[in-house]
Amino acid sequence: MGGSSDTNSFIPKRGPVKRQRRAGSRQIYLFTVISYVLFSATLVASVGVFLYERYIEDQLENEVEALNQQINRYREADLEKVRAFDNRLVYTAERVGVATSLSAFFAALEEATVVTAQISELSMERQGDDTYIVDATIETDSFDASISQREHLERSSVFADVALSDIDIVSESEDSEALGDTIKFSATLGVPLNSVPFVAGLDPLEDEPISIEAVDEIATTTEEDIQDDSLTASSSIETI
Amino acid sequence: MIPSGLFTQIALVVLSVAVAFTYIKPTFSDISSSQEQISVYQTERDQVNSFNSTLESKLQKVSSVASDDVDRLLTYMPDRVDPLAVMRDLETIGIDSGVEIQDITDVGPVDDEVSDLNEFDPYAYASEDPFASPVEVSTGPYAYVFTLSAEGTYSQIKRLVDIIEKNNYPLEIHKLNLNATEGGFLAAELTLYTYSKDKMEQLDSRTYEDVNVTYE
Repeated sequence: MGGSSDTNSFIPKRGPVKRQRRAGSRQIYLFTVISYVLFSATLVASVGVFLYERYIEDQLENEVEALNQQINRYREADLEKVRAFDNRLVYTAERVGVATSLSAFFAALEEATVVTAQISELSMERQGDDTYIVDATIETDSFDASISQREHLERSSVFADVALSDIDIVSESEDSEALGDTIKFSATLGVPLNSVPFVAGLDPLEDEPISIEAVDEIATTTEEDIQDDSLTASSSIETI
Repeated sequence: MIPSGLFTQIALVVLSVAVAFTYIKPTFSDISSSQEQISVYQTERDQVNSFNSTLESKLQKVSSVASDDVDRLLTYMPDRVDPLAVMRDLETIGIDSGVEIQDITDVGPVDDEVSDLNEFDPYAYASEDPFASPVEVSTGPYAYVFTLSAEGTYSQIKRLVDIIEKNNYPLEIHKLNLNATEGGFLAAELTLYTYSKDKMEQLDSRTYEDVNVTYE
């Protein structure tokens, strides 16, 4: 029986019980993770921000101190000294740049004056830093000489805007019937300052003034030109 | 029933958010502001440093100028014109040239046009920005006028003009009148300008007005 019962029993036979060991599991909730991570991050961020703020504040204080040191280095007196010197240099350069030589003007006037012309009056006035306006009363012994004088002035590189006016014929004696013993006229000249610049380098006390002989030499040179011009002018007058 | 752990988690989240909004965010704003200030301070420090360096280099240049040159410069463009000294020099020039001086007059300073900007403040700011670079206003030099009357030959007059224009300080001839007189002499009237760095009225009250020297 025993053997049949073992084989014919309707009760399913069970082998030795093998209890399946259930693996240990824990439930991890997403919200829990987020909350812990968020809190931890907040703590770390707070500490980091606190430390970084301290660092930045120290840096700012250092920058302020460095700026104050630089500002304290600045001295108004030094700036005043430099500025005064600079102004003096600028002003000096300005005046030196427009310095003129009236000696050069006289030399040019001598060169442009024909020997038969005589300047009885001369006035000149400086117009700012641009030009001199010269008014001269000139007397010559003939119209030819006057024309020649005008041409000499116009040819000069020193004078600009030459204009003759108030031309008058002055007789030396009232009884004389001859026309124009003396031709008197006013000449207005422009003299740009840059045409008579001052050139430094000569000692005024050692620089001898131009002698009368030297002036005569200049005049002799121009006299030849006058004579040539006079020939042409004389023939024209004869034609008239 | 709600487990107590959930309350803790909610409390942590709320606390985190509260800390983030009440401490971290404002602190970040402060840090950002401080960084901007640092940047500004650095820029300004660099500018001040550059300015100081430039000033030092220019100061060294000024100091390196030879004392003789400085003296000549001060003579050419003095702080103010000393009318008596100029008139004395004109007299000396007249004697050296050989002319006969008739008259020397101290006409006084020339009234130039006053600038729209404050002429007493050489540095006027072009804008309201306190960090803007100052703009220098140039108002000088200031002219001072003298007249000189003299008689002499043409050569002597030329010599007079020659010495005047080679003077150690500017004596610009702004007007010249020449008239022939008896005996082949010329009567000359000159209006002379000299210059100073500063305006005469600003310096002191020691002024000389209407100084006129007539030679009998």
